[in-house]
Amino acid sequence: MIEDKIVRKILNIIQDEIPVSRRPFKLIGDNIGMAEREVIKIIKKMKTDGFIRRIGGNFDLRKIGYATTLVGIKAPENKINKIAGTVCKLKEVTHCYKRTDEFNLWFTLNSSSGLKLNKLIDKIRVMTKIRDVLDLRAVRIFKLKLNFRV
Amino acid sequence: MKTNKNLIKLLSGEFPLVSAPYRAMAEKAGMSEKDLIKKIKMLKKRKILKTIRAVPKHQNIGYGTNVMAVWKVSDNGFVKKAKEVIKIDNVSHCYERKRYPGWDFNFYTMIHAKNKPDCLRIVNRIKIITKPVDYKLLFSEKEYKKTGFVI
Repeated sequence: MIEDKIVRKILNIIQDEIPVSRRPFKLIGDNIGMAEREVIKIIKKMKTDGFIRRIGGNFDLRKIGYATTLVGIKAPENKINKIAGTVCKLKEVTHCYKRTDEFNLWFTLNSSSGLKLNKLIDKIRVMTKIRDVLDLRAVRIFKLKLNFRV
Repeated sequence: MKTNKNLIKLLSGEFPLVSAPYRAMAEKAGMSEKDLIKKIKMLKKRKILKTIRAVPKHQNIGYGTNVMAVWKVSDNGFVKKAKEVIKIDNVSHCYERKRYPGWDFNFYTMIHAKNKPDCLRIVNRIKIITKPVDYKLLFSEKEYKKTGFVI
C-alpha cells in the first residue's frame, strides 16, 4: 500500500499518461508543485518498491495487422505447472494464469497475423498434447484499461 | 512500415527515467529528439500508440483479487449493456468474444478488486446490467506470466 498522498497522486497521473514532450517529468512536477528531480526520484522508487510493472508505450498492434486471442485449456492438475512452463516460453504468450474452472489454464496469444496465430495454436496443441483448446478471438473490444486509482 | 516497427520496439523497452527521456531514446535510435517526438505523435494520431504510461502491478497496490467473469448475454441490447458495464472502474477488460462449441459465452469481463467480496459485488452489478442466461467466474489462482508483447 502506498502511504504518501503525493506518491499516490503521481502514480495516478502516470498510469494515465506520461507526456510526449521534452521534459515530461518537469511538466508533471509543475502541475503538482514538485521539482522535476523529485518526481523522477519518486517514480524510480515506485518501480523498485514493486508498484509499477513497467513504463513504456501501450500499443494497439491490431492497427498494424497483428492478431491476438485468449486461449483456455484443460490441463491435468498434476501437469499444469509443467504445461504452463512450456507455454510461457513462447514470446507470443504474454499473460498466463491458472484459474478456477475445469478450463484451468488461460493465456493470451499475440502474433503478427491471424494466419500465424492459427499455426501457433496448432503448435501449442502439439507442445502440450492437449486437443481441447479454446481459441476465443475478440469480436469487439469495449474496454481495455488497466488503470487503478490509488 | 519498418520505421514503425523499430519505433514500437524502442518504445516497448523501459522508458528512461531521466530529465529528457525522449532525447535519451532518440540518441539510442540515431535520430534527433525533435524527430522522435514528431514520430511518436504521428503514431498516436494513427492510434497505433495508445499512450505512454506506467503499468501498475495491481497486486501490490491493493487490487489483489482478480476474476475473469464470462457471460452468456443475449444479442438483444448487447452493445447498450456493454457500454454500461465499462463504466465500472474495476472492470479493466471488457470484450465480446467468439462463442466456441461447448463454451457458449460471448461477453468477457476482467474484474480487479481489493478482495473476493468486493469482486463479487462487481460481479453482481454486471449481472444486474447484463441479465445473463449463464455465467462463470474464473478466479486467478496463480500468475505464471505477465509481460507486454514485444514485436
